[in-house]
This record gives sequence, C-alpha cells and structure tokens, in this order.
Amino acid sequence: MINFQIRPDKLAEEMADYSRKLGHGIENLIDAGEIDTGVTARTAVYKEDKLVLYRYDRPKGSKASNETPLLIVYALVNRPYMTDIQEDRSTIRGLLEAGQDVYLVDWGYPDSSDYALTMDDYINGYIDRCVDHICEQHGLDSINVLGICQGGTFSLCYSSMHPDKVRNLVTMVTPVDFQTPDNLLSSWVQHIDIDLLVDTIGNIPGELLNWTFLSLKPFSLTGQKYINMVDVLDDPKKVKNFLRMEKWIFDSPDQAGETFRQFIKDFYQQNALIAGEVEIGEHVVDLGNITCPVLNIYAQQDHLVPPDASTALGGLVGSDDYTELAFPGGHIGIYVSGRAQKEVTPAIGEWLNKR
Amino acid sequence: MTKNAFWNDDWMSTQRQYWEQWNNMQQQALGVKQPPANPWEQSMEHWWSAVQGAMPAAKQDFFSKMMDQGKNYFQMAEQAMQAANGQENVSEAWAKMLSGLTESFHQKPANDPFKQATAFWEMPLDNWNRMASAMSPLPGDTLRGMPHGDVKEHLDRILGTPGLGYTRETQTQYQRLMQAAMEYQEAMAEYSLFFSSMGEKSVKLLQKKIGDTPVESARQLYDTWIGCCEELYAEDVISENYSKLHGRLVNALMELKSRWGEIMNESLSTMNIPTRDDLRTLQIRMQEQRRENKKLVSEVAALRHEIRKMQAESKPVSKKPATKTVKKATRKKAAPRTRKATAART
Repeated sequence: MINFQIRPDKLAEEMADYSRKLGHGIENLIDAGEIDTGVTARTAVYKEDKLVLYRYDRPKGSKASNETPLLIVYALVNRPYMTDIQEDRSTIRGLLEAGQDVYLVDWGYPDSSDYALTMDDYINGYIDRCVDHICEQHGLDSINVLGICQGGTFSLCYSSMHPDKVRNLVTMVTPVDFQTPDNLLSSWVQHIDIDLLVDTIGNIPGELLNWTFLSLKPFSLTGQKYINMVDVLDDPKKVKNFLRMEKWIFDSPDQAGETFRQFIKDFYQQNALIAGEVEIGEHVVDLGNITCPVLNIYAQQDHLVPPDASTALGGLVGSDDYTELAFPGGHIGIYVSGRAQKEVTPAIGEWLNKR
Repeated sequence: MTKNAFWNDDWMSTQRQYWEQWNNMQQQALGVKQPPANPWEQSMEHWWSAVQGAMPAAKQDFFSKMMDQGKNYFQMAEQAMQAANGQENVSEAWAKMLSGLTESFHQKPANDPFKQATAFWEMPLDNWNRMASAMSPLPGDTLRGMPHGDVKEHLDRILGTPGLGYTRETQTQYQRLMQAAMEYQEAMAEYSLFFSSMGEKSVKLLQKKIGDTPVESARQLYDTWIGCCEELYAEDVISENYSKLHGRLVNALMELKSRWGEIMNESLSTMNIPTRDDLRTLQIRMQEQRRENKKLVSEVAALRHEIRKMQAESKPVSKKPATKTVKKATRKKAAPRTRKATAART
C-alpha cells in the first residue's frame, strides 16, 4: 500500500513558498552582474600561441618556503579557473599559503587553426617549453609538477619522457587505467568511431563535451540542481557562487581534433597507458621511467575519474616514494569544497616541502 | 524596471488565481465542476512570458532551466492530487496514478494526462537534441519524424540503386546522404526506446520506494523520483547494450554530417572556393612546419647554451668570489637537459 500523505493545504503552501522564492530570486539573479572568476593576482610570464603561463603573486610580505616552483598543468577540457574560483575556495591560494611558488598553464580556447595540434605538441612542445622557462628563471634543472585530471595524465606522460625535469610529481583526480568497470565515460566511447568523428567535425566542440558530462547524471545535473537553486535564490552571495560554478561548467573550450583523436583512441579505447604502449612523438611512454616522488590524490566519490582509475598508478610508477591521498568528495569538490581547502592543499604543501 | 515588476503584481495575482483553482478542486470533490488540467503551470507560464522580455539575455537561459524544473517539481504532486480528488482512499488513487504513468511509457496519445511526467524522461534526449542542433545545419528534431520500419526498407532499396549517366556521382552522393539520414533517424528511435523502457522501470522503483516511506511533501516526492531515475539510469547506461546504442547514435550523426560535408565540398569546388578538405590539408602542413621550426629554435638555443658553457670552461679560473651570473647557472640537480639526451634514455 502506498503511503501518500500530501495534504492539499500543505501542497498549496509549498507551491506558494516556491513561487515566492522564485519571484524574489529573480531580482538577485539580475543584480548578480558580471560573474568574475580567478581571484588571485597573477602575472603572465610566458606566452606561446594561445598558451599563457601565469605566475601567481604571493601575498604581500610572504616568501615561498619551497624554493622549487610548482607548475600546475590543467586539463584541456574546461577552464583552469576552477582552481581559483572564488576567494574562499581556491586551490591556488591554498598552495601559496602552503609556501609554494605557483605557476599555471592556461591553454586558452583552441580554434580551427589549432586542429592539427597533437599530444606531442602539447606535452613535448608546450609543457616542455613552460618547464624550461621556469627552470631558466629559477636556475634549476627540475621543478615540481601538479597535474589535474587530463592534465595529470599529460603530466605523467611528461614525467616519463623527461624524468630529469620533474623533481616531484603530484597528480589530482588523474585517470591512469581508463577501463575500470565503473568508468562511464570510458564505456560510452568504446563504440564511437573516433576517426569518423574527428575527420568529420575537426575540433571537438565544447557542446559535445558538455552534453557528455551532463549525461553522466542528467536528472540531477539538468533538473534537480535548479530546484535546489531556488532555495538559495534569496541570498545574493550564494546566487553569485552558483552562477560562477554554472559559468565554469558550460565554459568548455573546443578540443584540438588531432589531440582528441589520440587521447580517446590510445587512452580510452586501447588503454595503452597502463600497457606502456602510448607513443608520443619520438617517445614511448613508460610509467616505470617515473622515479621521482609521486603524490597521487583521488576523490572517493568521483563520477568522472573513478578511484580505481587513479590508484592504478601505484603499481606502475618506478618511484620508491609513492603516496596516495584519498579525499572524501567528488571530482569538483576536491577543489571547491570547504573541506578540500582545509585538507588537500595543506597536505600537498607539506608533502612537497618535505622533498 | 522596478523591483516590484517581477513578482509582486503579475505573478502573485496569477498565484492568487491558482489558489482559487485549488479551492475549485476541493469543490470538485463535492461534484461541483472540473478544474483546469495544470493550473499552477499555466500561471507560471503566464508570468514567465510577461517578465522574460525584461530579463537580460545572458540570464534567460539559466532562469528558464529553473522554470522548467519548477514545472516538473509540482507536476507529479498535482497529478496525484487530481487523481485522488474525490477518492476516499488517497493511497489507492495514487497507486492508480502510478499505473497510469507506467502505461504512458507504452503509448502516448495526444490527450495523455501523464504526458508531461513521462516527458521528464526525455531530458537526456533533449540534451542530445540541443547538442545535435548546435552541430548541424538542420534543427535537431528534423529527422525525428522521418519514416522508418517498412518504409525505410523500401527506401533503402530505392536508395541502393546505382546512379546512371552524367550525374552519376551526384546521384550517389545524395543517395548516401539519404541513407545516412535514415540511419540516424533509426539510431535516434532506438535510443529513445531505451529511455522509454527505463522510464517505465523508474515508476516501478518509485512505487516500491514510496511504499516504505510516507510521502508528505511535493519536494520529497520530486527528490525521490529523481533518485529513482538516477539509480536506474546509472545501472543501465553502464551496460554494453547502451554503449553500443550511444556509439551508434554518435556515429550515425557523424556519418550524416560527413555526407552533407561531401556535398558541400563538391559545391564549393565548382565555385572555386576552398573547401574544408583543402583547409584541413593546409592546417596539417602548417602545423608540421611550425613543429619543425620550434624544434630548430630549441636546438639552436641548446647549442648556444653549450657554446657559452664551453667558453666559460675554457676561461682561466678567477680568484674572485662567484658572481651572481655563475650562481644563477648553478643547477640543483645534475642531469642532462638536452632533448637528444632525454630521447636516448626513454
């Protein structure tokens, strides 16, 4: 027997409440103005094509306690301001406070002229030249690298191909084994003809990626989220924070066609990284070449990169100093949640400072 | 625009009308008259159409999403209440409503009272259509109404007929385009069917879940419904079957676009306008050259560095303390840095 106890007067009250919040909230929505992202002051120190390498300014009067700079390599998917999205939710700020000298690669927005950029161009070209630039500026042979998501995979490839230039490697929510049974994204691309896709549309539009990510949880991400939003519409600060996140979610750069082709075919469809069979330029990527200390951070409720996809790294790197850090949250929460600010960035800083 | 313009007047007035409709509904329990099908939704639509013109374009899409979900939010509760109207046993009426909903996933007549609740399960499809529209010269739903089944088989035979005469190539291109369009339509139909069967299962799961816990608010009902949908969706879309459906849909759309592009290229060529294929060749050649240039620049820099190093080593050792320049050149880790040396190791 179904236990249905909604009374008409209660339902009417709920509707009135919802209507009132929606009506009031529209004012806050309009007054929200421009949505700013990226809160920490920074300086562009190197530019090449659409790439910009930023160095983040330290808080006045403070000095980096770690003399080895840290380069953050973000994914090509979505924009890197997720790491610095608002004053009280900033991985960048947390790292600065933890004594790191922070650099970040901003890939920009590829257009059709970037179609033929390959993984070789990105990793052995752009990343390598950014590392060289930082090394040159600091008079060092090697620096610390922090790779995020796909940027983590790129960082692993880079560290394998240029082990002498990476002093310590931190990977965050980074896929390594691309075919764990719970990997929805992987399952979905297995029967897609990637050559046909790339040959037909060239660069992969951001809309296609948005659709894919929203399809992971369509009812929550395209439905329930907006109902929940009504509950906070009367708080201008929360409205602004919500809109900031909304902007990031839909701010998806197109993907350079040739890089997308190799990334999906070799990594997702062939799972060639764990087999040591990925070829990038003149190199074969062997994770066993990575002998520097490695800190691998993953999110326990990650629906994009399942924990097992990340922890596979442990058995593959050649390092004797391998550490894992499990964060009780999701793929985005690991950067923006209050808990992440207290736990993740201080842990990275502490780990790096010891090495 | 005044602050009151958005809600105090128009909308609250329509909301008042809505409460009156609810009163009517209660009266209907006494057999007085029939209320409109979805009064709350109607009032919301009315309000939204009045205010959306004054809203900045950038915010309209966001607010539309909230409006759409607001409608979904109350839809089930509203329908349940209507189903229960006049019934002595509300729970039995509710069970009847859920049965009706299940039935809706099998057939959707135009006057189906549960049409909108079942449309909730079209959200993944709707997302696909938006994306496909953004990538296509045709609206995303253009191909949804195309013939299939026996008609498709018949058309397949016709379209399979070899082209003849001077325009043979063109005929073949258009035949392939039509075949690709039909394949896409069929893939889309198969994809839709998958979601409709999933929707049916979600109603059964909802029945099971609310059988255990008393439902006391529309929000609780909505959240439970979302939870059921996500739970089933997560189970089904990880399957090999779904992976194949998904692949077929994407491949079919790409095949269609590819055929369309082929015809476009042909037309552009006849007008002596560069085609996408021409551009692609140039993009690849240009990137190859840029790659070579960057490699050469890097090698020249490395050679200069080596020369400076050799020159420094050949100078007599100074008795002065190390200069700032020398200090800067000090490396913390002694490791070769040239690309050649790295390549040899990997």
